[in-house]
Amino acid sequence: MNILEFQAKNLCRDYGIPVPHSVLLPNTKSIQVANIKLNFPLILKSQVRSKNRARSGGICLVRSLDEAIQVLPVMFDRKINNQNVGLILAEELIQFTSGYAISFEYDQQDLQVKLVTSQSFTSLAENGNQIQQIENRVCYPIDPFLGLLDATIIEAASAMGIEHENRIFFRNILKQIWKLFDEKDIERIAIDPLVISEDKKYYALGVDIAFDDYAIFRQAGFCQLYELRSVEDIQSLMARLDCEYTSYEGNICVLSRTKEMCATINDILLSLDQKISEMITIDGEISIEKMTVILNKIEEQAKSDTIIIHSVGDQSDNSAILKGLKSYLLKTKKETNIILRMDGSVGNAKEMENKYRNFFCIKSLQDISNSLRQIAEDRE
Amino acid sequence: MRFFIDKKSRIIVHGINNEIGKSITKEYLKKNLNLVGGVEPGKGGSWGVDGRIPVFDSMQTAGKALSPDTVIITVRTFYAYQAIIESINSEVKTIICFTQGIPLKDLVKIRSLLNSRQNTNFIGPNSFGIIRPGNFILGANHWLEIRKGRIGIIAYCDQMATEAAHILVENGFGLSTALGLGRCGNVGVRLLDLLQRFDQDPETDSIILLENAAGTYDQETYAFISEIISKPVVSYLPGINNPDEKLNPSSGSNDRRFFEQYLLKMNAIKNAGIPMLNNLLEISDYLNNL
Repeated sequence: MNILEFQAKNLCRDYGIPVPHSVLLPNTKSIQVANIKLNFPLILKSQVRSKNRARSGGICLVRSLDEAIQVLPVMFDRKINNQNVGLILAEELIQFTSGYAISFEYDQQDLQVKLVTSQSFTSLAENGNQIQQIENRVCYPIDPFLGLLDATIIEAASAMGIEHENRIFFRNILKQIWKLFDEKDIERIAIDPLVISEDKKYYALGVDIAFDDYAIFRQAGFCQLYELRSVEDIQSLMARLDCEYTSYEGNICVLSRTKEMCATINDILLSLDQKISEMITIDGEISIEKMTVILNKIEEQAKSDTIIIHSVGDQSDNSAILKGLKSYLLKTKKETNIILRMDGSVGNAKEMENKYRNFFCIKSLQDISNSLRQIAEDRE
Repeated sequence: MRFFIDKKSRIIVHGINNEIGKSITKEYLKKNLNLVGGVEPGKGGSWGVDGRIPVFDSMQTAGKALSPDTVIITVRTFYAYQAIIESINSEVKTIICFTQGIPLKDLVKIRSLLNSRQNTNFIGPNSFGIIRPGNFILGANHWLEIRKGRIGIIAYCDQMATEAAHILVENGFGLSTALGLGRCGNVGVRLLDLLQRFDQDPETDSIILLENAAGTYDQETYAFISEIISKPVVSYLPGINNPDEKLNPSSGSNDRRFFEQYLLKMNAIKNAGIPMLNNLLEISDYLNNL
């Protein structure tokens, strides 16, 4: 889970990693607070999760209060990557002499933890566009039991060409970043750029933090950060239900326990010239209420005329799914077709198949094509 | 033992008193697997499952008393790391971890420890078990419906493996062995090692490799499959028909790295010349044409 930039910078501040002075603006009027606390020029940054924020007008350099007052309403109104801008971070501009990119990340491919350094850094041009330069990318594997060793830091500092006089500061900052990464169960922390200012101080200008969702059970403050996610309505609702929602262009919704299974069904649909409209993967426990809310939400979206539900493996899931479906089918006025693939005792499902004309209980994925054919015939 | 355990294996269930532990222990006793004990911190000295199974406080004490060769880990996520490390340190040959949702930080440490313990076979986490119809079923009950046959399945995801097995049975084939590597990616046993075990199994004629989007750890081994494995191997990567980032349901919705890993994996399989199915239903056609 990625958090917003100001949240990431607050975490950095807590761990003694220097970040520029900033003020969070919840509305246009609050620029007056920034005017008192900060010195112009300022960089205004929309707080959304998007890699290309600058390209979409999410970052802007302002030199005076008047300029900021003019720019802010436009920035608040602008949608970036389908996300509304609810907060803007006003940050003091740091003039720097050199910059680096540093990240600690878990390599899921090799199951290793790595320090990645480079002289590539993102900088902000006068017109607000981001400029990225990439040079000398080097990876250093870190022993998960020993942690970040001084030898690794020295090696990295040499490779990055950091001057001797700056190396102690560099070591201290790297140690603090590692501490934050290790203690907070962070999956990836990227400081890009980490700059040395004209007065020889280090600053983390860009901070990107992604938490490991699986570690939520041991990170108490994690949930608060999670609530501040600025996602689309349907996605935020599904996230609260422990579900992942993705929208596509077709007319069939696929609901399953795993992404792999959704993808498998999608491959079958493609071979039948059908397209997926929504993909929902359900994590955590399935209850009748949860199932009903999900089905109602799918109906509300009005994107899908058929829902394929796949539940194989857990008998308690099956029971909740069937009861949820029953309650949905009793209330709904829309004739959404439902194809259910379920294992174990499917007696109740068969009863429902007899009762509802648009309900199909299939024994295997091979039967999807027959059900879709029947739906097409019924429609004609 | 070709597939890590057999009916004589001395099995311990770590987390015997929790809901999953209790239910699978009862099932295993019904399926006549040699369950010798359980571990539950704080419950040492008691007897579990209607007084039939001795319970120990730790793997260390259970190991000394019972000399197990297999541990099945069903503990809750919070205790999983400790349980796994304890099991590895007790030098049990095979560890099968059913627990899911283990943080990456812990997985990295487990992998690092396993690298120094070459004799430990670790399967999981989030494995669905090892299924050998007609012999033993170390997994959920729905596998009981699957008929014995001569096709082997290696999979990361239980649901995909179950569907593949159903398709096999409906088309006149059967299952020799299904092995679940776990949806978190393969932390322990190497894919090539597993394939070799299937290759040497006289009860298996062909092998189906059901991939997942993440866990590309074994990517470099694909190149060796055609050289080392003599039996036909066919693979299926979900989402193969949609190798476009936005449309690929296997890719992480927010993180591009997942999609990059997916592409790496897809290209590695393609370059190795391993046949790839377009969808799971093509399994029967492929096997009929062999």
